[in-house]
This record gives sequence, C-alpha cells and structure tokens, in this order.
Amino acid sequence: MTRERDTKTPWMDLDTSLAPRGPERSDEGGATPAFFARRDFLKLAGISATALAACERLPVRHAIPLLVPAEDVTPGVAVHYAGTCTACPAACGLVATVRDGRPVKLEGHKGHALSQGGLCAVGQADLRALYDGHRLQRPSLGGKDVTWAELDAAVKTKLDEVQAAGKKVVVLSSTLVSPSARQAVLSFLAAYNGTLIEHDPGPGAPSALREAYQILSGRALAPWFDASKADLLVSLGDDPLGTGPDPVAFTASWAARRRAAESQGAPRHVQIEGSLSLTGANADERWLATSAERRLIALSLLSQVAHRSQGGQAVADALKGLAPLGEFASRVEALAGELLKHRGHGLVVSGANDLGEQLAVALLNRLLGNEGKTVDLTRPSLLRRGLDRELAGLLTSLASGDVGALFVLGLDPVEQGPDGEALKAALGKLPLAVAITDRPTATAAACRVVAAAHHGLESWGDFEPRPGVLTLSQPMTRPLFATRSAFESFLHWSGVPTTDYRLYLMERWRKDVFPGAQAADFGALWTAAVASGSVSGAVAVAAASALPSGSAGPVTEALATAARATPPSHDALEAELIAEVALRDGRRAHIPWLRELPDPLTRASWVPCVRVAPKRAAKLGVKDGDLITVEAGKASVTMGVRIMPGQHESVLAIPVGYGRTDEVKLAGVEAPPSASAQNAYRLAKLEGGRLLLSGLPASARPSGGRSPLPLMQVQSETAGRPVIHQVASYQEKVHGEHLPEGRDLFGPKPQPSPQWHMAIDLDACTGCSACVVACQAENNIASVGAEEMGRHRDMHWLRIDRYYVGDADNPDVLFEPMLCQQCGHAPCETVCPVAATVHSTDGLNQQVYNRCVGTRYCANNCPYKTRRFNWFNNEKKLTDPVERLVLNPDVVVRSRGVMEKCTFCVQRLQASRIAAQKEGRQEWASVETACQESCPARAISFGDQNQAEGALAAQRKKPRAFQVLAELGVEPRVTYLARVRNRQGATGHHGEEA
Amino acid sequence: MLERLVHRSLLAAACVAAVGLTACEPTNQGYAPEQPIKYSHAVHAGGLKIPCQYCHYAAERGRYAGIPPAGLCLNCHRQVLPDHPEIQKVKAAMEQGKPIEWVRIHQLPDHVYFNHSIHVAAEFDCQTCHGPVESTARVSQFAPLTMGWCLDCHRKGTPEGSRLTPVAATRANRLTDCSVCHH
Repeated sequence: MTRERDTKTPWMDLDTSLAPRGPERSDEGGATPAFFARRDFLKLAGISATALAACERLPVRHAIPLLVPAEDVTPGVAVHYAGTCTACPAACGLVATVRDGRPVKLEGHKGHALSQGGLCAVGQADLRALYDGHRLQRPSLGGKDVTWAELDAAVKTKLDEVQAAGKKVVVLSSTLVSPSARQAVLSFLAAYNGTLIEHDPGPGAPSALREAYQILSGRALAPWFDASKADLLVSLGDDPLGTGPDPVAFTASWAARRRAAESQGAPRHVQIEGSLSLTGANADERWLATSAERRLIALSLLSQVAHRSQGGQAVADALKGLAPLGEFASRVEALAGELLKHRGHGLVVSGANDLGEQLAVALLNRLLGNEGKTVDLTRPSLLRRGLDRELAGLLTSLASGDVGALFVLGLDPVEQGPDGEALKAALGKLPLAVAITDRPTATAAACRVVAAAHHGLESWGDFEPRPGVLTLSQPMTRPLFATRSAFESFLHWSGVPTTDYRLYLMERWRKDVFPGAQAADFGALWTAAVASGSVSGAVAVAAASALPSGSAGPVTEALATAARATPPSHDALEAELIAEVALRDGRRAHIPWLRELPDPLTRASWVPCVRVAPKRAAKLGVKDGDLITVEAGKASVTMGVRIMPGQHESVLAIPVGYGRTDEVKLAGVEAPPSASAQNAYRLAKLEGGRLLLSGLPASARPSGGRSPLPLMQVQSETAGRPVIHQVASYQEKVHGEHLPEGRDLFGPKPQPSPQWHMAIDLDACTGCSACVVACQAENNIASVGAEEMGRHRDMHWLRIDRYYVGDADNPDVLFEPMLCQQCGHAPCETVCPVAATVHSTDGLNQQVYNRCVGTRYCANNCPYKTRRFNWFNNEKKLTDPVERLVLNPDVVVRSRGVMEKCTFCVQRLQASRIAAQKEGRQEWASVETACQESCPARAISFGDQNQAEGALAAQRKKPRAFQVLAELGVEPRVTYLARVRNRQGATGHHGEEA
Repeated sequence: MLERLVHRSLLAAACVAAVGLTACEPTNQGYAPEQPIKYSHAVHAGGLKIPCQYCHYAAERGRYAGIPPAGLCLNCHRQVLPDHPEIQKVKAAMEQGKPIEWVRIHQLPDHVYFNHSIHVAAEFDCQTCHGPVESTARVSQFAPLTMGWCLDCHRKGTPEGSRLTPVAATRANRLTDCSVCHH
C-alpha cells in the first residue's frame, strides 16, 4: 500500500490483497492407507481400466425419432428465432438458437434499434434460469399444490370479498415495459378499482430523475440518453455502462462514439463518484466525491453554466449562497467551461436519488442545449416508471390495513426492500396476497397464493422500451412445467373473454399497432413481426407533443432548497448501495454463471464484499477478506472487506442482491455460506417519500473472523512486463516490446486462408463481462463453486483482467479480455508429451480432450495462463435432467483430468466451413465467435488475417495495436488496441459559447 | 519389503493384462441388434428403389441422417399393406402417441462430431460408409467407424470431380485437423 507508483507501469492489486486463499487441502493427507500410496493405486487402477475399456462394446442406446415430423425441426439442425430478452426490463433484442425444440444459446438481435446486437451477462445467463431445477413448477395455495382452476377460483372469491369490504386492490410490479401486459394488468385493476404501483429495486435511473422532469416538464419521465452524440459525457455517481436501466443500449451508443473518434474527434468522459463503478473505470477522468459533494458539484456546475447562458438568470439567482466548493473549485470551473464549449454535444447524467441534484442535471442539459440532441424527451425511456412516493404510500396503507389484495408481480419486495420483516408480516395478514414469480422467493413464501409464472423464453410478449421501438417475443420452447404466463393469470382473474395471452396480444396489436390492416393483411404483418422480433418500418409514434414547461416558481424553489441544504461534512462515513455487473438488483442471483462471474473491478466471485478505500481500511485496521459490520440507521450488514483503489475514503460501497433466502437452492453448485446478514437492501432508507440507497450515514467496525474471498486475480504487479497499454490519443503509437528480427527457431509455416485472428479494442471494451458468460454458455464451461474458485480452479476460457495505472487512491483502470492467444509458435504444444495440443492448418491451437492425460505441462508453459484444468467431473454436478438441457450439443463436455481452453469457437468455424462448402462459397470467414457476438460495444473483430481488407485488417493497422508478450516470439493471434485516456479535452464538434 | 514386492508384481500384472487386452479392436463393426419393428431395407431401398434420403431426409441438412418419424412410414402404409403385423406396430405407436424406440446401431463417441450433410454434398454414396444396405434385411454396422478409418478418406481430401467447389478449405491437410471432428 505504501509502494511508490510511477504513472505508467500497470499494476493489478494492492500488496495487502495478495493471495487471500480459500481453505487449503492436502492431497496426501493422513487418510492414505499404509499399503498403497494414493498415486500408486491410481496408476494401477488407471492401467487396468484402460485395458478393460478397450474391449467393451458401446452400451446399447436407443434412437427415438418424432412420431410426426415437426415443421422447422430437423434433428441436429439449429433454428434461430427472434425475440426479446426478459431478464431485466431493458428488453434488448434477442435471437435464440433452438436445437431440437430447446433453446441452447441466446444472442443479441442485430436488428434491434437500441441494443444493436449486444446482450449483457445477465441476458446471456437467462438461459440458465430457464433450465433452473428449482423453479416453481406448479401453482400453489397455502403451500399446497393446486390446479390453475382451483387457484383462479380462490383468487376470484377473495377478490370479491375484498371488494365487498371496500378495501384496495394493488398490483406491485417492476416496470411493465410491455404495452399489452400493462393493458392486461390495468384492465384487471379497472374491474376492481385497483392501482398499479411500479417499482424497480436497486440503484440506477432513480425516482428523483422522473420527479425532476415532473417539475421541469410536467411529466414524470426519464429522458432517453444518447451517448453516441456526446463529445463530452459527465456522469455524477451514475453507472449507465454497468448497471443502469439499459446497459447494453447505453454501452452500444457510448462505444459508437469512441469507435468514431478517428473521424469525429476524441470524446471525453468525466466521472464524479464515490465508489469505483464500471462507468468510472472507463472514464477519461475521474473525481472522487461523496454524495453530498456530488450534489454541490452539480449545483455549482449549474450555477456557472446558468450565469453564462441565455435565460439562466432565474436559475443563477436561485443558486446564490451555495456552499463553497473547496478542493473542487478550480476543476468545476474548468468542467463548466468545457460543457459550455460543447453545447449541444455534451451529456450530463446523475445516479442520485436526490431531487436537487437531478433537477440541476436536467437544467444543465436544458441550458446547454443538449435536449433534443443527446437528451431525448419526446421519445423518452420507458424502462423505469415508478415513483418512490407511490411505494411509500403502499407500505403505509399496508400497515394501516387499507389494502385488501396485493399482487406482487416478478418482484421480491420482502428481500429487496428496507423493512422486509414488516412487509412479510403485512403480507401474512392480507386477505389476499398473490406472488406471481418463477422462483421460490421470500415474497412467494410470505404469500398464500403463488401463481408460478412462465420463464420469459416460454411466453409471448411485446415490449416498448422507448416510444417507436416495439418488439415481440415468442415462446422459444414449450413450457417445461405446469406454469402460466404472468399476464395470462391477470386475464383469468379479470374475467375477460380472451384468456389466451397470445390471442390477447394479437388482438391488441390488431387494434393498436396495425389499426388500418384488413384481416388477411394483419396475418401477414403479424407473422412478419413475429419472425423479425419487431415491427418492420417505423411504428407510428404519437406526435411528440410539446412538453408543457414547468413553471419557474417550483423549479427555482426546489433549487433554492437544494442550495440551502447542509454543506457536506467530509469525514463522516457513508454507505452507498451499489449494483454489481453480474447480479444487478439480485433478481437472478441464483444463477451459478452469474455468481461465478468475477466482478470486473473487485475480481471476486460468489461472495459479496464491502469495498473500502485503502486509507479507510488502514484506519479500520482491516485487510482483504476480514469481516466487517456496516451499520446504517437500525440495520446492518456483515460482509468481507475488499480494499479497492479508487474508492472515496469516506464511502463504503455495499453490493445489493446477495443474501437471498432462496440462495441455498443455487442450481447444481454449492452456495457459499450466506445469511441475511448479507442483504444490503436492509440498509436502504425510505425517507420523505424517497428510497435512499446512497449517502447513508454509516458506521463500520471489524466484526472479527474472515470471509472467503475467491479472487480471480491474485498477483499485485506486472513485474515490468508490457502486458497492457494506454495512450493519450488515437494517433499515438504503442511502444511495446517486439521480438528482435531473425530469432524465429521454427521457420516459416504455410499460411493457407483462412488464418484466424482476433482483434480486441480496449478503448471500446468496458469490462462488462457479457463475453465471459457468452463463452460459458456456448462452450459448456462448468461452474465450480466458491470453494474451488478460492483455490483458483476457475474454468472460464475467457477472463477480463483488470489493471490499474498510477496512484492507488484514484488510479486509471484498464480491462483486458484474456483468452487463449492461439499462438503461432505455441509454447504449450512443444511440451505436451501426448500431442494433445497441436496446431491446425488454419492457425488454431487445438486441444484434443481425448488425447489429454492431464500432465498440465501446457498450462505451466502458457505465458498467458489461459488454460484450464478439470480437477473434477464438474459436469456431473449438473444432476437435474432439466438443468442438463442447458448444455450446447455442439461442444463436448469435458471430464476430470482434462485440460481445456478457448478454441476460437471452433464448432462455429467448422459449421461455417460446412455451410460455405455446401453453398459453394469461397469465403467462410464471416463467422462470429460467441464473445464477439455478445459484445455490446462491438469491441471484438474476428476473421482471416490473410485478408487485406475488412474490419479486422483495419483494426490491426491502427497505431494503437499491440500484442501481449509479443517479445516472447510466440506469435499470438490476438491483437489488442490500446485504451485512450483523453486528458486534453474533447475534440469533437465545438458548440458556440453563448 | 514384502509390501514393495507385492506392489511391484501387481503393477507388472496389470501392465501385462493391459497389453494383452488392447489388441482387441474397440469397434462395434458387425453390430446388428434386433429392432422393435422388422423393417427391411432390402424391400424398400433394394426392391422398391426408394431413395435413401426419402426417409433419411435430414442427412443432407445437418449432422444426423435421422430415423424417419412413424408418420412418414404411414404416409404410404395407410394404403400399402395396412394390415401387416409390423405395420400394425407402427400404427399402434401413432395411436398411443408413443414413439418407436429403435436400437441405435451407428454410434460415435460423444467427442466426435460427424456431419452427414457435408458428406452428402460431397456426393459420397451412402453405401461407402453404410455398406450394401439395400440388400440387407437387418441393418448392421458395416464400417469400423474408427478414427483411422475416417482418416483414410480425409487424408485424400475432397474426391475428384466432386460437386463441391474446390475452396481452400477442402485441401487434404485441412481435413485432417483435429478440430474438424473434435470440438
């Protein structure tokens, strides 16, 4: 921690973090029988087994064809269906690869207007949620399995009673992005005079954002932010790239601007935050500020911009008497100047659930002329609609007994709220409490009626994430269990004639989406929409009505109130609840793929950890992995510590989504020891009609004991090896080490086309880890569990290494996806005693599992540490036949004692070759690897390195291109493009100063 | 000392056994199990000259040649020999909604990915690998289906005069890459 750092050498971790290992285990323990040593026994057993196996006939197997040939289904041939992802409300475009009637891989939909082909880690892992053996399989009443008819009858009877008693009927749901679902729920509620309350737990697009626009524009809406047009992005404690409401769409637009830097000038991104977020890690410049300081910075920026903008006088006047900025004064002044310089080409966003700050940010965008350019209010975001005060109202009326029936749709408020115990008790007392969910959540346990819902991949649905973007989803498989679409349930309870949700959906589309179409035309339009997953051509958007502008009075009043707020005290400790890239709000926290995904910043998997600044850790006297108890108000959480460079000294960041009661039912893999002590939602505070997740006054103390801390990276230094680079401009050349000429021991090899090569643009890569999960899904990569991760026996073929550069208090962060580099002169190949790893004609370093005897020499000789060894028959942990359906039938499942590694998705390359040969095409290099296909930032290019034209060739020619450890002469087949840190200021379009 | 001796002799015995036993070919060649329905390729493919791919229509599309669905049999057999006892079994399967469980003859290990469609496109006769099926009543495994047997062809590359375009990909050396069949 005290090490002097230069400003250039990348490093990986603080010295104190070194190797906090999991429990040690001795292979040669005392249990060894005296007669045979364990290894000798294995030798004997192995030899005999091989000998006997040689003569055995293959076991009798049956081949069971379909009775009637199904349309679209050819055994062994994949069919792709378009749809929409339902893993979170963002509703990204989806293409499911379906084999023999079951989805085996989810990809992004390239034609989707917003997500543009990317699909995040959570979306990729939603496949695993479909085949989750612990899903709810049938409806239940008071813990007893019932039929749907029985459940419907019970619900209707109770509803009538509730109505007769004059009590309220409420549906509590995460934001309904589906217009048809919304209509179904609202018409159900209309029948019982009930209300819909939308709420999304977790940080990101907070309620105050919509409240600010309600004051400012008369409508509680969240604008659509378009980062692709932003030369200058200023984010105050917001994490739109990692855990915002639509990380894929935002990443796509953010990366589009960076990729266009060569033609449009270098963009610039300033992040002001207390805890290192994924967005902050990608910023060109990062300031550390507490939540109170961020509010003050926002108001000061607004004050300075208002002074220099037309029509800003009233705002400037309201902000008179702002507290002094202290250390930020000069930086804020410079930033205000920069924002003014990029009028109409800037974007300011905030993640605070604070009305003053959100209002300031909204006014900044308005005064700077960003509205209508990077901030769209006419076609806003429809991904978050709830207001915290409505939730607060619900909790009050639940407590007072005004509510008679509560339907909880998809949410788990008992676990994802501040006072779960009270809510649980209230649910128990309600005449009718219905949980509509696919998991045995705590809320489902507290509700008498549990309507087991379909998974999104089993249901029909439509989605409107933004006016004018309308997509469909179709069932990718037959329902696996006796579940029912959540919205079909509402149709049954509201007593409408159409209770088939598909017909209901079509009916609404006939009326609202294609109003003019004749019956025959509608059929064709509908079929086309289902096939493409969206409506082709422009959807009629209601004419962008001029927004009523808020009256000046309330605006200036709110600003003045914010300006008068207590000036920040610098030393007080504050807790900030953060979402992690893998878990987000925690609704999919049971998926092993997501739990095992190492956090891009902490590099820890499976277990939650409180992120503490190095200096604060020293004050508290804690090391990595020490248990710490954080108290905020009456609640507390206890987690292990992770000392994080780039963390504000006064801010403790605590991830939400852990500590769920249904976590014990983690599919197939043993769950880490966890308790409700890890549920960070308990720290949230509902105050003044607003759910506060950050700036919570807190205290912390070491609680003694250690938490397991399975880290993916355990080295602290790069030992002077030039493994990663960052440059100051897009024209700067990387000066890496190169192999001196004439040192090639192997001599030239023939290079027939294609010769596969991958290029990864580290300037576009955000570290979001979608590729890691995509690789896992495509290649049947096992989840090994927390304990094995702690022993560094992770199986990920693709990992994202995280490096720091510079000062430990606020370093630059670099991400480097690291996969098998398919070396031309592969060091692994020369040491394999059984030729299990050999080179292919197209330049791949092949791993032949059936030849491998597990010496692990290759892994030892790999300079990139990208080879993975199967210590166990990991796949045998997938015992549930439903869970085994997730395996990709095109990739072999590896067994114990076998080495494995990235193959550049060779199954896709071979499929592409076969398709090209069958069609008589010469070219077959247009194939995409799984990681490349999932990448929301389009950071990965892949193809034939012999081709002089095309995306791959263009990337490799750029001055920023370098290869990792090229000086070893291994001829890696992966090229990286260095990250650019723009410290100079944006060089895009310059607006005019008013 | 005695332990060591016993230990060594056991090791030696195991080795001898191993060498002796591995001499036997690990193949299912000649495997001709009894099938639930006495279907005769000799009648259909030989006598009636029905093309192989009329029933095994998946062979030109993807990895598996596929066994025809019972519905396909009944396309003809609703009219042709509907009362034949073997046809009755097919009908019964249809009526009960219970698919026929054929005994699988050609089995490749799980780590081998063989693709029928590219071999059909390369205009190999089915008989090259499956033998004179059209003259046998009960199908048996004709070829050894060992890796060496596959490589005998793959080392030659795409056959002369094949309909396949001679793209670089068909070069013989590329077809012997491990990852062509193992991934």
